[in-house]
Amino acid sequence: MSVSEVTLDQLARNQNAVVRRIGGDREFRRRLLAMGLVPGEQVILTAVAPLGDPIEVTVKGYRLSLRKEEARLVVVERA
Amino acid sequence: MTAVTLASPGAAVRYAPPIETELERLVAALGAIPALAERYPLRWLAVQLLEGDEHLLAEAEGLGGPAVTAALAASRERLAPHYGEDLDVALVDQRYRFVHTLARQALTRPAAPPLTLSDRIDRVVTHRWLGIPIFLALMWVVFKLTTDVAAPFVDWVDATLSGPVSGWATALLGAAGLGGSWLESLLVDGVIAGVGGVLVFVPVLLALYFALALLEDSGYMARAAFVMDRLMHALGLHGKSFLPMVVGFGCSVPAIYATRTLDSRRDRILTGLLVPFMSCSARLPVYVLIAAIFFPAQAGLVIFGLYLTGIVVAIVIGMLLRRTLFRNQPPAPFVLELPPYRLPTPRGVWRQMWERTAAFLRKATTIILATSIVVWLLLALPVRGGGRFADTPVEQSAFAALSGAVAPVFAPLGFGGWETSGALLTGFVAKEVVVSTLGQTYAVAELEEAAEAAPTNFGEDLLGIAGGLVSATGDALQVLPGVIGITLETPEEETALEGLAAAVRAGFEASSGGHGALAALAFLVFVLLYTPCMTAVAAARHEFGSRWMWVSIVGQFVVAWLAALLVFQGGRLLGW
Amino acid sequence: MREVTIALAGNPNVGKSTVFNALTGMHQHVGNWPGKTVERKEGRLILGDRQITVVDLPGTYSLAARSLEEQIARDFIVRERPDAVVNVLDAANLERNLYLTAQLLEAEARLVLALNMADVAAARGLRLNPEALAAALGAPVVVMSASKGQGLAELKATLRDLVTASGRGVRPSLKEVAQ
Ligand SMILES: Nc1nc2c(ncn2[C@@H]2O[C@H](COP(=O)(O)OP(=O)(O)OP(=O)(O)O)[C@@H](O)[C@H]2O)c(=O)[nH]1
Ligand SMILES: [Mg+2]
Repeated sequence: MSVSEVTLDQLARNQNAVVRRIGGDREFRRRLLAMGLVPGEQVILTAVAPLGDPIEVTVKGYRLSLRKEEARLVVVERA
Repeated sequence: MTAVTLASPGAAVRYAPPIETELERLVAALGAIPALAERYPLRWLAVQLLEGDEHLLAEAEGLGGPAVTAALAASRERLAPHYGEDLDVALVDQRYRFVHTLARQALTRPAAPPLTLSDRIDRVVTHRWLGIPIFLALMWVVFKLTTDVAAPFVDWVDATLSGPVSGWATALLGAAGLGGSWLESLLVDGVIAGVGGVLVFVPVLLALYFALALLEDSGYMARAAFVMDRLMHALGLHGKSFLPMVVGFGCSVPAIYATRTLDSRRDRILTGLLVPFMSCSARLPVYVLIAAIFFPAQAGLVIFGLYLTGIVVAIVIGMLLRRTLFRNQPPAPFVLELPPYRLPTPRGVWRQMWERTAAFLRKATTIILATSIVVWLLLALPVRGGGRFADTPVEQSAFAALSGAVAPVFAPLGFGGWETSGALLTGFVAKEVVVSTLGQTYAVAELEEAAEAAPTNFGEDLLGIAGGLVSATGDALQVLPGVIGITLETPEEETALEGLAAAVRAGFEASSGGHGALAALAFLVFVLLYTPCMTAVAAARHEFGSRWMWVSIVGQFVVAWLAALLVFQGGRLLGW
Repeated sequence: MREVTIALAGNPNVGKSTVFNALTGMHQHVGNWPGKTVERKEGRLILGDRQITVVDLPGTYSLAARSLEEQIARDFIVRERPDAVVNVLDAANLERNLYLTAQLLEAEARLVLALNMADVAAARGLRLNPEALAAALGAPVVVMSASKGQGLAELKATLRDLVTASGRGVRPSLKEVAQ
């Protein structure tokens, strides 16, 4: 992992990033890919739930929420 | 505006050359197997298999045998140098590129996207501090809608059926010379009572589906899941499980139907199995009666404790279920779109209310009517004494015999008398009747005011029904401000009849060997935890299928039995 | 007269049921999918001399089935092979919605695109170009705001053309496709 690479859950609110890799099992990866989290795609962390989990990201112009444990499987590069 | 074009169809995604080559090969290989060629669009199948769809691979291998496996492995191997482990990523990525090009042609974006109203609402609704209070307030509104607002209509349906409708049936049969016959009893106490048992849920379900339609169509439901997921996930459930649980405190039937909002079947069933442990409002009269008899000083505490026990049991059973029946089903990932807020249309909302309620009527009526008739039959059949069919004292009926036969099951719990097991039997049909059954079995004066109303004519009846509906609407409207204003009015409970109290006390003392209060507590715990009612059973079957219905019935019985045993025998050990 | 079946497919929450209700009105039937506890909504629509069965499929993001609902939608499209699939899309969220369209094309479905939520798209300042989309996809595209009843007549007209045009109401048999 290079310096600017972090996992999606580590982004600060309103921070921009670009998706690099998605880990996890195949099924999970396919699911996120289908939802538009493809390598090279811009994401912004737009909100965090009141209890600190899940998080909400904006990708391809819509809002998607993920648990942090799942967001940890998404490697992004801070913009 | 319509744009039609005669361009050749098949403007499909083109993948990178190495992938296209393999797709061609795969299509040829798969096409050679007739069973597959007949069933699937082959290029699509080839793409899905390359992408790693295991479900589909199993299906294809089942139909096509090892040839499929071999062809796929060969293609994968040839692609490995290009894409390594990321063939699935490459396929999706290339598909999205195609989509991106399409979207660019089809759409022009404004330079600066305006901040939409939806965004602004979200800032408040999922706000760090406001999010949870707003969520809880909305849940409160849903709870009130399905309880207090629906209640006057429930009463009206009940009164209409047991009053005028039963009256008409009696009058009709009387005119046909069948007055006072067993047929009249079957019709009034079996059929009409059974139909009533179904119909009284209609107002509740309409209220529930009204709330659900608003929450779902507006887009709030996804936010509710977002706000609550952390808590519910800790319990192995899903953010969307919270709403059914809340509704469950009102009534298990709408709560079971409310599990529909969950996306994964595992979460739906798991939630549906736990919802009945939330103490529904129909159990309250039983708590009130028994607590008033045995724990007059701490009745409130006992009742509160029961509600809490239900929640704790749900949590514990939830953990158990996840480690047993659902061991191989990990919780669904929480990958949830938060759609923009939309204004629900009255037509759309009404349609959902009606459709879903009608589905309940279709599915639940048979099973409930059948149960109602069976109970009637048991009560009508004399097995001892000199009673006639449909005219026999309770204690001489088949019902009493059956109650007596199952009573030993409850003996270790301290309430092995036939009177209490009879009440539990009818409680399986509906908790509302437990108290009146206790009244009957302990053979005290009828608890229900069997009001021999003055004879009325048809016109007066109709007026009465209409008047009842008007006043029900009025009552519901009066409750509405309370829904918004969050006022918790404590229900004023009628004090238990002296005679019944004495009889119940004596009964519990006798069946428990002098530990009446402990047995009563065990009885309450049992009432809290076993099957809420026949309608809930029907709902579970409707939603989850027969197998899960049985899991639910048997599971709740076992849990209730063990918990009551723990209370009674544990209490004895502690020397109470 | 051959029975014609049209399926409504699309992402969750894009207005499929709204379109379904508008098309079929009161002629609906709610049942369950065989052996499943998922609702199956089916309705009847008369277009010209054709009686059409319209099926409202559960919402799905892709044809890679994960949940029971998604599996039902996928199996219906690839196995039952309806005569046409009306792909309802949220015009305000076009890119993610078109991902399913790409898969539907791959599955060789005869598509009609319904760009729904046009009102929302307009409010966001998005300008739609249905002709370009239709040309690129080789499929009819209808712009609509289903909850306001806008675009329904056009959708019906498009469907009528599709099912009544000679030979076009019947899709090529799978055998032909396979060859
Ligand atoms: N503004 C706007 N709202 C719409 C339009 N069409 C539908 N809606 C609303 O969008 C919401 C969802 O519509 P549905 O028809 O239930 O969507 P669906 O695709 O059937 O949803 P699922 O069955 O859950 O996948 C409802 O509140 C509709 O009133 C439209 O053209 N414009
Ligand atoms: Mg729908």
